[in-house]
Amino acid sequence: MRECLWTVSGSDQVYGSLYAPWPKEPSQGVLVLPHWGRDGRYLLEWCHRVALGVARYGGCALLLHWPGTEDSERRGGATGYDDLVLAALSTLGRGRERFPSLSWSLSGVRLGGTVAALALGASDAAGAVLVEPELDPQAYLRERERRARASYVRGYPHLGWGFYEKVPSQLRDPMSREVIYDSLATARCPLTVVRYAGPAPAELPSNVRDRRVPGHRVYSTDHRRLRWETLRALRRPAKAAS
Amino acid sequence: MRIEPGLVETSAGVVGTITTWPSGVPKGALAILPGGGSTRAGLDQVWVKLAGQLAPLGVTSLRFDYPGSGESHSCRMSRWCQGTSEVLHWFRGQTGQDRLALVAMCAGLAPAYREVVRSPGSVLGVAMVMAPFYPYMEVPASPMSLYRQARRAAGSARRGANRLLARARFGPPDPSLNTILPKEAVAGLAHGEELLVEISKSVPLWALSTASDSAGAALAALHDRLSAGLAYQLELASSPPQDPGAFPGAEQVVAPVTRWAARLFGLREDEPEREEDALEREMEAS
Repeated sequence: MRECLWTVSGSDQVYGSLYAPWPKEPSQGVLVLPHWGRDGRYLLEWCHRVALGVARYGGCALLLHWPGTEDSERRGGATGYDDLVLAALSTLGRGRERFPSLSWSLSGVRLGGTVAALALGASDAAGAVLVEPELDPQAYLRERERRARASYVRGYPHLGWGFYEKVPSQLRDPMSREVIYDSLATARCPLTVVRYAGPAPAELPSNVRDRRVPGHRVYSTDHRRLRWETLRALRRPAKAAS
Repeated sequence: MRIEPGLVETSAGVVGTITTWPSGVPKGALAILPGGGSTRAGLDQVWVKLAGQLAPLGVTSLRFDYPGSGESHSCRMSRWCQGTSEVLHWFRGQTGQDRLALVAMCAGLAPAYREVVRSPGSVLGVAMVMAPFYPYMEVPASPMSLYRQARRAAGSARRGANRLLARARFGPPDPSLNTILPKEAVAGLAHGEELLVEISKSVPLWALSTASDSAGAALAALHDRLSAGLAYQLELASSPPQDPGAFPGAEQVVAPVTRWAARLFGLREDEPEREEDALEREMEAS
């Protein structure tokens, strides 16, 4: 079963795509948080496949589009981390309204993983699976902008992220790695990080289960192994709950 | 304005659509055909912004993900062309408009051409944004390019065993951006100029380009070459003032396309329909 949902998050309207088994009741809920920006667009089908995979093993998955990207509407100014966390929590609330008896987990990829880490405290999630999370988002955004500038110098016809899509100024706010690490370290639910063996991954707090799959983040174009491992990790909280 | 997401059953699979309805009685219907690798929102939400501009004029617009991309990720690529046509057919049924205006971006030229050729009476006009002209395709192969091609083939053969093992363990490959437009859809794009000429023989064609666009010069030459009898217009979008050589921003695309749609449907862009008028018209209609 598939549905499209709108969720009101502050002044924003967030688009959500729901996958659930039919006619039987789902066993577990998963909120899928995609990556941000143009890179996020490249991973969108991957996120849909994760959501579909969750529905195939009997769970229900809700995938959202961040405010100001894809089909979600942003009415305020530039998007900040607080807005992204609020959007995630609002969509989670919408999912709980739809299936009130389920326990919900969070799953985020890249910057979606960062937002999932920040939302853990307020979400009361049964578990979280962070896929290749950007534990230092400022470094990621700096690198992204450097690559955009380099492509412009090489003669590509657009500056930045295409059609003048740029990093919202609020996302540039210095957010220390410590905030994210603290959020991970103080989480009370089971946490798993799924990532490639390359490039050399950063250290994680001791309460986080680290799952590595062979391959490299940059050179792997088809992230099947990552999806496979993510689905395995997502099934774990459901089994523990049952 | 009402934004209505939907999931349409086609022979290719479920296709994700978003229809933007005007407040009053619709005066026309327009479908957006995004470029290859793009979703229905477009880069920097260019198509969301366009739909938002068209609704106050009374134009209903459709945005949809091509089979294989975004919400339509689980579609069968072998029925890509049929799936795309069926969505446009579904949109005609929803709006009650027999003739659609099409806005095609880059690789969207392929489905637009097919729609015009298959049923010319069902298309009102075509707007082409950033036409796909590939002059480099005519460059003869150099020894270096042949060497690179051979090296790529050898590498691919070497990785063949690993690929087979990965397929056995993890299943078939996920659709990547390279496969979102199937070969039969993109094959015609090497002859973009001919496709545009064919379209302009059947319906009014309007093209938008910039001075920095590699296809701009070719489009201008085409404009000069085509006889006056063909309905073809070319407009050059202004680049953002802070960066004169760059690709246009979303606003530089939305404004001229909205003007074109207003002209095509015979609407006055400077006088958008007031909410009260729209309600009155709706009551009269009901």
